Amino acid sequence: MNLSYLLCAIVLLPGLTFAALGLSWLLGWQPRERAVARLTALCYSLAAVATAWLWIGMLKAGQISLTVPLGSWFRVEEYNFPLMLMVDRLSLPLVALSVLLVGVVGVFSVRYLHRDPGFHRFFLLLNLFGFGILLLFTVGSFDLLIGGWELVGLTSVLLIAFFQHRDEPVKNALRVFATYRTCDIGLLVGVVMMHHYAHSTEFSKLFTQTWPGTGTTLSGGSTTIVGFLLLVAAMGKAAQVPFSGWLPRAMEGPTPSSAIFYGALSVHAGAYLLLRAQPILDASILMKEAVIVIGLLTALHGTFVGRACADAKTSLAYASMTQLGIIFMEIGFGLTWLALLHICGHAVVRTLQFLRAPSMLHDFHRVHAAAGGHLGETGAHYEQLLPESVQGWLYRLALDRGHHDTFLDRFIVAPVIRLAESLNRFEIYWLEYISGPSRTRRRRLAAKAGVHRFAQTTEDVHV
Amino acid sequence: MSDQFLFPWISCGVLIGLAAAAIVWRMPEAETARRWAIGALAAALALLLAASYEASQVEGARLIEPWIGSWFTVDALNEIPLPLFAALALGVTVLAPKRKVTPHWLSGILILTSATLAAYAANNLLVLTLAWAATIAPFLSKRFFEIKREKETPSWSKVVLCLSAVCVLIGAALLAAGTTQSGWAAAFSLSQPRAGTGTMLRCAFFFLTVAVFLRKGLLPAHSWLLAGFERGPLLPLGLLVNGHLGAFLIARVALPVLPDVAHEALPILGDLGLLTAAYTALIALAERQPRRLLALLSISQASFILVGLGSNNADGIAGALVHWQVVAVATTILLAVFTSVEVRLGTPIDRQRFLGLATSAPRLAVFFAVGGLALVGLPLTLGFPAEDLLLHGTLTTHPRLGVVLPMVTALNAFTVIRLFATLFLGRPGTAARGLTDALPRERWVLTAALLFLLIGGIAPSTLVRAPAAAAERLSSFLTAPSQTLSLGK
Repeated sequence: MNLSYLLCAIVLLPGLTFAALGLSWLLGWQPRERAVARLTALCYSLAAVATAWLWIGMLKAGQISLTVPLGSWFRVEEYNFPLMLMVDRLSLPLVALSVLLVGVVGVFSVRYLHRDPGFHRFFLLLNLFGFGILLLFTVGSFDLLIGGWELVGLTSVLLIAFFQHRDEPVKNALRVFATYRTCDIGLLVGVVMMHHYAHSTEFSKLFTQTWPGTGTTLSGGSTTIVGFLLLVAAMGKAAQVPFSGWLPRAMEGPTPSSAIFYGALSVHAGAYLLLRAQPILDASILMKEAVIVIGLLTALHGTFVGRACADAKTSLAYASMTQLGIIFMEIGFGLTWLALLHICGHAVVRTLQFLRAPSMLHDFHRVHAAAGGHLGETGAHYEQLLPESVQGWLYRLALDRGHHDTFLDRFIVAPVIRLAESLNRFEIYWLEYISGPSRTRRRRLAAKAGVHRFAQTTEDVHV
Repeated sequence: MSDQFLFPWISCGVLIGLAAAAIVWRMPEAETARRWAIGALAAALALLLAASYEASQVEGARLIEPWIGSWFTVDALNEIPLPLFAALALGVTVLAPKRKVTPHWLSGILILTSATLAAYAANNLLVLTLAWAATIAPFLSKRFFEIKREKETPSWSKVVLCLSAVCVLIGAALLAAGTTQSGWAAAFSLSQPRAGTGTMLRCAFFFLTVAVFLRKGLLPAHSWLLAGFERGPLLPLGLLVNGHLGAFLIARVALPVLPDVAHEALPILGDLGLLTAAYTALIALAERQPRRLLALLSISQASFILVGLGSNNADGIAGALVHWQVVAVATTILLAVFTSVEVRLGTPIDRQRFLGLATSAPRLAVFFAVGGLALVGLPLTLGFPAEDLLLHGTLTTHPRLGVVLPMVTALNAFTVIRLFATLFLGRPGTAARGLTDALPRERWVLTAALLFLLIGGIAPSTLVRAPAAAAERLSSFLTAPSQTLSLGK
């Protein structure tokens, strides 16, 4: 079979499953749980077979990369949006990992979410995520990468708000969405800058060698500008300092989604972006140093705050953050192969940990039983070497997650909201000045007047 | 190559709408009137689809109607907007809650539709001006959209709409007066570029720009839209706004007929559009009333169209024309879903807490979410190519200003999700329990609208082709403004 078709099939299978499930539901047909589960299992089984076939086919043919040009998506004068899929030594392991882990999480979720009112919604979003992440890893240009990138972000947010009957998950989802969108500006502008400087965003035209080669057609200050913009986008997705505050909030979603998004794939998308843009980073010393410093700060922050976390999922989130910081440092040091291995290993281990998190107490008791009694006490950490007052101060700092959110809220979010509120207040006054009070305000005024009249009447009675 | 249609599709489409408006007005029963209106709009849609199809077969040319004095024409610029607007009007008529629909309401929608279609297809400035004025006529009289105990169009909105019509009228008169050739046909011709930047042409451009400024609700004239959305009839106002006649006036008149003045002045209008988009996106952060949020979102996203038109290059102009389609369809979805929810709840929604409507109306929630996200450029929807083209076009011409565009999109995306969360997520209140989900008629129409956005996003080349051709033609006026260009071929 032609390997190009296999690559297209791998990406399209989850997309088609999503489309079939979504459209049928929208038009009024609600498939049963078993049908949804079987369709999803079939989709990822076929994708896994296709991935294995593709990998073996490429090895046999001695190919280190496969590019599938699918023509022009749309064209206006000289501007052309190329539609192109590509796998190479960087993306193929990640494609295999994605197919495997999304499939495993799908199987796990069938029982975990059995009879949950959101069962169908979860599988819809899981398939959309599968499509998004596979698109992200297999595209041949940064233009198209935005598509996969945004789909991953959107599904992530919708799954954080999965338990929609409570207000907190919804508020946290909004917060995560705001962080994602802020950082995505970096990717959007970065891609346009690539067009501006290199007149293309195709990997084959931007980079002179196949991955992990280092040559790029960008030069001079343009590498620093584009590298900086891509780094901002990667920092958002990979929860790097100072954009790390969203990760513990994302734990509001169901455990399988936490596993696949924040343990396995979504958080590694930022690292993938940097690995893909490695030649651009390599060309700018400043950007390499920035990646190392950000990674180091994130690793320290993650391990420090993770020690004060009281629940399993948040602890795992901070453990992920620590590892992501180390992966960023590896990328900054140019250890690309090590970073790729680290991503794959970390994704698998963390998925297992997340999926076992709901039965952690059971596991704990089993370990005790296997050890033939209680295990020895832990807690003798290096912190004990510090004076008690400093320990207390550090504990409070860790509990408030390094004051990151507090800082962002007070010095960035609050001033913007204050400005928006002032302008909005002026708008309302202006509108009322030119066309009288609004219906809502009239009702409020009437209600106030009613209360006032009632008060007067009561007073009269008393008199 | 023929330059005439085989049949006067557009005249028939417009006349069917007007005739149905007159018939429906006198009908005693709303349900019968509704069926008549739907039939008339479906017929108009079929005729306009036929016109667009015939025009698309003759690449690079504009077709003029036979028989009736060459009043109407179709080219790459209006090839998609014509059937799209008829489809939107049909959709709005089907989706409108039965409680709100009266024969007079339907008559107003039919007049608005016919007038907008006539403005799109106008082959001369006089028809365009009269059609522009006719679009606002139903909003000026109390007898069309004002239902007992329902909201009414605020007088401020009426004043601004009237002012915009007066400005178009003055602009058209000055343009006719500034034409060197004699005769009515030459004076009001839209096929004859007026070279130079004389005082008369500058004044004509000024008045046309003011008309656009008022109609599009650019800063500081956006208040009429806020007042209209907050206090007026939402669906008809949405339809009026989604005609985007302001942007059309720029693309049909200001750019090709006054290329020299436009070359100088359009970037300023684009900057004003960007400022409006940024300002409204910012104040939306502090706004909690859903109707006002919808208005701010609509103004902000619609301002991008002017940003693209002011970018002076084909990518940006094509982006603007594609974005026009996205804004029209996506905003209509949002307004239709919101109106349905408001009618089901029975009271205006001005809550500041989460309403949790997704529990009982999950399909309406999905329609709202996808429509809203398409509006802000979600991948796999038509919004994505539109945003890509806009961003590319704007950043190429104005790199510093262009950076603001993704920031504004990010703010608007946050507003969409916040509005979605407020309406559909959270713990369901008493009012939300037992709320009816999308009815079959709503489901089919809204699914069709979503499919337009989704299929357009997956395979955008069909929907981008005509705007791209129009954009290439319009940008050629800006790159070589003084040359005598024949608009006919």
